[in-house]
Amino acid sequence: MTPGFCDRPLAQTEPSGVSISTPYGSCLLLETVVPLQLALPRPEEAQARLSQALSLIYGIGPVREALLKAQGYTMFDLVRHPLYGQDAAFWAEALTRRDLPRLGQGLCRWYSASHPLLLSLVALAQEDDIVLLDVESMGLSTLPVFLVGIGRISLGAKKLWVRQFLARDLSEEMAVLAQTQAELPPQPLVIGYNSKAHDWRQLQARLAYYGLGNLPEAAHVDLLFFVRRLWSAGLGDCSLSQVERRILGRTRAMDVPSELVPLYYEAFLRTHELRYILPILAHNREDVVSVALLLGRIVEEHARGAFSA
Amino acid sequence: MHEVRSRLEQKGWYRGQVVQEIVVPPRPAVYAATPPGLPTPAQAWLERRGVRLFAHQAEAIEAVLAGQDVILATGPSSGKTLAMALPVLAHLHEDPQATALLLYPMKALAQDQLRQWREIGEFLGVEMMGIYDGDTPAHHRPRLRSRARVLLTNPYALHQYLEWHHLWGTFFARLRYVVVDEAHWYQGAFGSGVALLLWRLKRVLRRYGANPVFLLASATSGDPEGLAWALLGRQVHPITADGSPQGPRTWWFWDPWRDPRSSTFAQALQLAAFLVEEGLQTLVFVPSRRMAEVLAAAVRTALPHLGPTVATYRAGYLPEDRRALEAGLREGRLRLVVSTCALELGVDIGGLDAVVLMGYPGSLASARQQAGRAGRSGRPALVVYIPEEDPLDAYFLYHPEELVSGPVEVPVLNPRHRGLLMRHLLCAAAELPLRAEEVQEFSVGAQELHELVRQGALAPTPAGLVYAGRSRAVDQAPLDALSARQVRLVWQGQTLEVWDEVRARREAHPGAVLLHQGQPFRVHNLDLEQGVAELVEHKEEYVTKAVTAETVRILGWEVRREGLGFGSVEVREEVRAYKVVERGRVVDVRPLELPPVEFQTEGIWLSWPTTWEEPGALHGAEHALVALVPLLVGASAKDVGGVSSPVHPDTGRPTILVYDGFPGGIGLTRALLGRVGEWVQRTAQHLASCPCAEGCPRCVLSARCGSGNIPMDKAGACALLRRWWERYGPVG
Repeated sequence: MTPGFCDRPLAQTEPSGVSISTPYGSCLLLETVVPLQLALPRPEEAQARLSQALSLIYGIGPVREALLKAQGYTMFDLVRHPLYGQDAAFWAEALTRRDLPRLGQGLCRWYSASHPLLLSLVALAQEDDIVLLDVESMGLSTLPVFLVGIGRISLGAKKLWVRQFLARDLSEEMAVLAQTQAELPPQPLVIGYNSKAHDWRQLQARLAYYGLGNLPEAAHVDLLFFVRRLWSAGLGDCSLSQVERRILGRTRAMDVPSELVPLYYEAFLRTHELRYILPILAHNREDVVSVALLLGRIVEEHARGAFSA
Repeated sequence: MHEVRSRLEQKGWYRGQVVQEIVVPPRPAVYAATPPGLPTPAQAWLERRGVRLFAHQAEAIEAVLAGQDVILATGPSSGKTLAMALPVLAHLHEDPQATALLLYPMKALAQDQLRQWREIGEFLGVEMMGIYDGDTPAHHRPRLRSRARVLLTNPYALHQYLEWHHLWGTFFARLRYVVVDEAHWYQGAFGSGVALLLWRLKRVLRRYGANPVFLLASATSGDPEGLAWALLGRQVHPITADGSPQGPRTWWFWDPWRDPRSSTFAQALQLAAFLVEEGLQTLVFVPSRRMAEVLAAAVRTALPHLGPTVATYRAGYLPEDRRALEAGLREGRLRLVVSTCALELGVDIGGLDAVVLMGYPGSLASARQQAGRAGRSGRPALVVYIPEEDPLDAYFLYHPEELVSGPVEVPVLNPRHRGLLMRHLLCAAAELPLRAEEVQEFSVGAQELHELVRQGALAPTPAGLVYAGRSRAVDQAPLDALSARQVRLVWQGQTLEVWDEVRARREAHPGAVLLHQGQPFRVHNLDLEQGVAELVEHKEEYVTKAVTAETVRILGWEVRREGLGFGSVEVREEVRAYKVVERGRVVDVRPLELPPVEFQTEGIWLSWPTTWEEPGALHGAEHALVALVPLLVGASAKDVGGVSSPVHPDTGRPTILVYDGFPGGIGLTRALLGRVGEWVQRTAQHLASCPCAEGCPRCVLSARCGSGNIPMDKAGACALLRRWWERYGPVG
């Protein structure tokens, strides 16, 4: 839980941010620090688990994986195998180099997008590579993006930094995108809610729209898949707000429902009144915080053995 | 065919309906040497197949190899696919990076063409070809986009995909060829939308550094260069001299009114049965799906021993069923097929012995395309034309040589249509930020842009104007309609058709009986706010006819000549009531209270230098002029409207005004402007050759007339048109 965070007053007179400039104009940056307790497995443990993900190797399925695991084989041992050696070497190298995007793609392809091995991937990652993401836009698919929320975790300091980039009008969208691009590490591990199919793709589409190039290659841990796997039966609808209420036990004081966000922003564009933009900023910030808390909760569930059930 | 004719004449039911017989002598093939620039593997393919190129194919191949844009407008089965596929695939073989995009107006066609492209591609070692459209499974898509060399799609799909261009980056950056097949299909509102879509495609491709060559293939067209210009906005090398051979072809012109006691349908049935009994493999083209089913069933009943050799063909069949039908035709297993215009397109079915056209298919291009299905490797073939009761149909019965060999109508489209243009401009802004000079290309003024910014549809940014609407821009720009305001025809929760609002107001008023694929429905309720017309099944015998009143005011004269004007007009159409017609008799007139339809469009008007002309004569001339518009321009008579008045308030003279029925104008009357003399002359000739005395549905009577064809004076109409032509026609 994040005591005090939800009660943060909204009675400001302007978004308390700083204007930052990019080669493509300026946008507004807002920073918030939130206490966060998150227990991840130790990296060595994660590394050990991932080195037994033998199904990554072409030609090895669940049955053979179990067999080889039982005999104590790891990816590193199989490097010398006549048949699997080449593939094993590829994955062993990815593990040694901590090549998260490559590992992430392999895990999603040969296991599933909600496999606990992805949590090991989170544990393996350097803190600097972990990016919590939530994007607010004018609507679905390829419409403009006006707010990007990025969360960075510090396990040691037990804190979550939320950095938000806001376009004060649509002419600042390019700056928001460019700043987001600059903010991302070269091989990020992106954690979000429906972020793989939606937020990330939308960012990419908008960057391409302006000819600003590509997003870096990323590993995705999309918590939506985990929620579906663990709780879909009890939840009915797997929206983040539902998950917050029912799983995390959080409530938001004055929230804009996601579907109204574009309308509020339009009203803000028209009137420049803060009462329309502040709730969106809070909404986005809360989403990032919820993603962090949800990650913690899913890791706990895993430790408790919920995934094997 | 001589013996067939004599045996027909011995039939007891025959009443001398074949009033004209025209024998077209065989046309020998014109071959040309294989262009030396054609890469060796492609030459090897020709040799292996034993294919000699026709002159037009060689010319097209040479032009493509030289990197020229081409429009190839030749007859059916003249080998257009080969002429485009061979040089394109030969290039793709030499440059293993290059890609090609193929556009077909319909999904079914892409299936058929893929087979032909694959066959050549496999020989040349160009693999990875595929169809990419709404039916393509999602998990195949990324691979197709990143790996395919040749992709086949349709304009509707491309319209949706363009804003995801970054996913197509690899394919687009390497794109060397865009093939637009069946280009004659792109006319009217749909064609105008496709022209704007192609502009958007070229614009997106520029971002990826691609500037592909465009290859257009079209049926014989009145103005292929003009069509290409309208679609691409640039000069394109036209190839029209058809070098493919044709066997001798006999045309029979069948006058169904020679036997007043037998319906056209009954006569077509007798004729079809006769042709099959003669051992001729026969294809009958009919106007509707329903008629196709009914006619085929009637033949099966009349000649039960034919059984499974009689079939129907129409759009909407499952691909495997269509494939089986096409194979049955090619192999001769099927002896009689009754088809809608679906078989007009480039589907490979081989040649048949006889083709029957039941009714004029709406354009000479279509008629030639349908007739072209007859004839197989130099063998004699028969085409029978049976007109329906309509001026246009009758015109060709009286002027048979025009159907056989007259000039084909000019395709009409108008990519500068204001409403369409603005909607596609928003689509373009949603694909890439819009720059000022791009907007200028379309003479969109600062005022109009400012208005879009004010409405929040566009937002100014340092990169240009950005689309800022709330819903996807492409959803506001239906490709085949002019206005974004649409009315869905809904039956039991299912949308049967989507109409423009203007058309819905005219034809889907409450109580109106309308046909959907030959099936009658009645409009229960029309909700213009929601854009929904609720339909119920119509089981009664009656049909309905709207009683309309139109007034047209001239807003501006773009052309002002003696006796002739052209410019913008304002149309006000009012549907005041509708008639209930049972077995041709009006049994009731029911009033309607609908708001009038008002729109601006383009119009052309003829006037006479007198103070007074008989309203009946003007009325008849107006009907005939409207009915024969499709002789000159690619359109249906329904796409234009007409009014006549002894004294028009804006000309002060007896005037006939014909207007473009599409709000904003799709260019129909503008296309008439250059050929107005011919239009009037041919209309006058038609009235003179119609054998009726007082006027009939084959000349001056119109089923669409709001005032019930009253007053009407056929002889006066003919004289009026003659006078106009003698005075102004030869000059105009």
